[in-house]
Amino acid sequence: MSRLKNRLPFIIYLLIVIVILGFLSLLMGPIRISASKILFSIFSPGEDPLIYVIIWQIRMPRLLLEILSGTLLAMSGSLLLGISGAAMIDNIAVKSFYLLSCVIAAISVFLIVFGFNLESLYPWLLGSLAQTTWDKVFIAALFILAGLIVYVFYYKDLNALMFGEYTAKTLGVEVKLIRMFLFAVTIIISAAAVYTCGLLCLTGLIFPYFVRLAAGVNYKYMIPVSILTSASIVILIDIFSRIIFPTELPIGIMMAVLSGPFYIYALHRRRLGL
Amino acid sequence: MEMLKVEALDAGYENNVVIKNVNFDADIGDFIGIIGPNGCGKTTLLRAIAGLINISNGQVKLRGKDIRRINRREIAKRVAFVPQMMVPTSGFTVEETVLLGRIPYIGRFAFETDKDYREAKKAAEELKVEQLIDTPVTSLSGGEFQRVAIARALAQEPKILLLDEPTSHLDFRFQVKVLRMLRRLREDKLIIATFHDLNLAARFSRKLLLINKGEVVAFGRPDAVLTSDNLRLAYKIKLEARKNPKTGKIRVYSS
Repeated sequence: MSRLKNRLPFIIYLLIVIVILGFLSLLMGPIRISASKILFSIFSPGEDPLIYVIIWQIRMPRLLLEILSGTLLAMSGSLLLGISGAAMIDNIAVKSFYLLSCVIAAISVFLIVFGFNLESLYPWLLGSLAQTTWDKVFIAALFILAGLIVYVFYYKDLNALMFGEYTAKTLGVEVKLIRMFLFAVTIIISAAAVYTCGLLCLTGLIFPYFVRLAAGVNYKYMIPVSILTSASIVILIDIFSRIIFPTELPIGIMMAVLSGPFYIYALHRRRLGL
Repeated sequence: MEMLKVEALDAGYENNVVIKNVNFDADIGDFIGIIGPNGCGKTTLLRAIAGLINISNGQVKLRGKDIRRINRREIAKRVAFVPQMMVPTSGFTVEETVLLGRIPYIGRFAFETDKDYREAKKAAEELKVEQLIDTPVTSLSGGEFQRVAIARALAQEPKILLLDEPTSHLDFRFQVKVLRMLRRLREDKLIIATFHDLNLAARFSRKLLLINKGEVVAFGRPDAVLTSDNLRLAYKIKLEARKNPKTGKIRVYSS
């Protein structure tokens, strides 16, 4: 009950989590830089040119792109939930999508194991956050801005849709039209997510489903909460993957592997009676 | 001109006409109960009046204007619909649920204004759920949530309020409570509700519309509609309608 009344503190907690994870992410890398030096470089850049380059040209764009990827995934995931209505996880599209991602992952792992050179496909297919540039960050930010504008003006319609198609219609929502429009927006935002972190990252579209289970479906709050949650998860996954595989395992593979159990849970939730 | 006029209405779903040749009209201040056996088209008729489904023949007119020529947002300002078994959706408080009723009044590029909050509060007060305003709807009882669902419809400031089985999942106390609240609203609205319980329908409706297999069997005052002949025609079993000499209300008994 209290979780509804006090949503703002919850959002603030999530912001704090992001700041902490973001700072941890800045600490990571082949060259050791102490926390104090990083803080110093964030607040007064340009003191030490080497640290400046590492932080501001390499680690910071990467971190921001992680946050932006998470945001894009959260947006398209929540919109997808909204468009397909209450029974999202029974949605064949989502199931087949995950299957597709798994097949791509399996094939690429197979090819890597047998020594094929997939480097040219990496950015598109698996998504790598290494060598992130500011350009990429700005382009992603542009799409997010567009997505946010849609969210601000359409959350009412999404909320109405949560109460079923008939109820939405009696509230004056042009259901078919709105669904088509939002679907187009979802596709564009998903495309932007593929651009930032690769096709396999789309497995992260599942995150908002869990946000919805935990926090309910009021879009006014669900989108900010899923953005913050998804961004944290992407940062966390990248930190993990850099700890486990210092040679840079593409983020997409990690995302696909780590989100697998979530899909299994989501698909079988009803059957398992969880 | 009457608030609602239904003329030779055929309506239903794709290739399946459920409602056939329904005629009736109604005005502000009426409380019409729609009765009839399961699957006779009560809900379909309500949906047709709300402009939700395909009208294959005839017309539904609001103040003389064909509902198909009014855009959805304008319909929403005049006609509100309380579906049967609306499911409480997690993540919404009572206030946020009632506020959904203000959607037709909020512009595309605008947000809820003070007036919207005031109207939502007024609607909640009318259904006596104002003390629950910050409660999540998922923790309400069935009777409380039904009142919230009605308040959501009232926030639309409708002239016509349609309710699909407003009492079906309520215990007896709440059935009477909800219907009394609806009766109080009647003065400036037209209320149309479907009922399973003939006695509740007879007790609270000013007029009854008895349908069977999508066609009107009888329409009029409860004592004129609830005759043994009409009931046998619709329900296929022997039912007896008796008037209580003290209250003048009609009661149906199975015999």
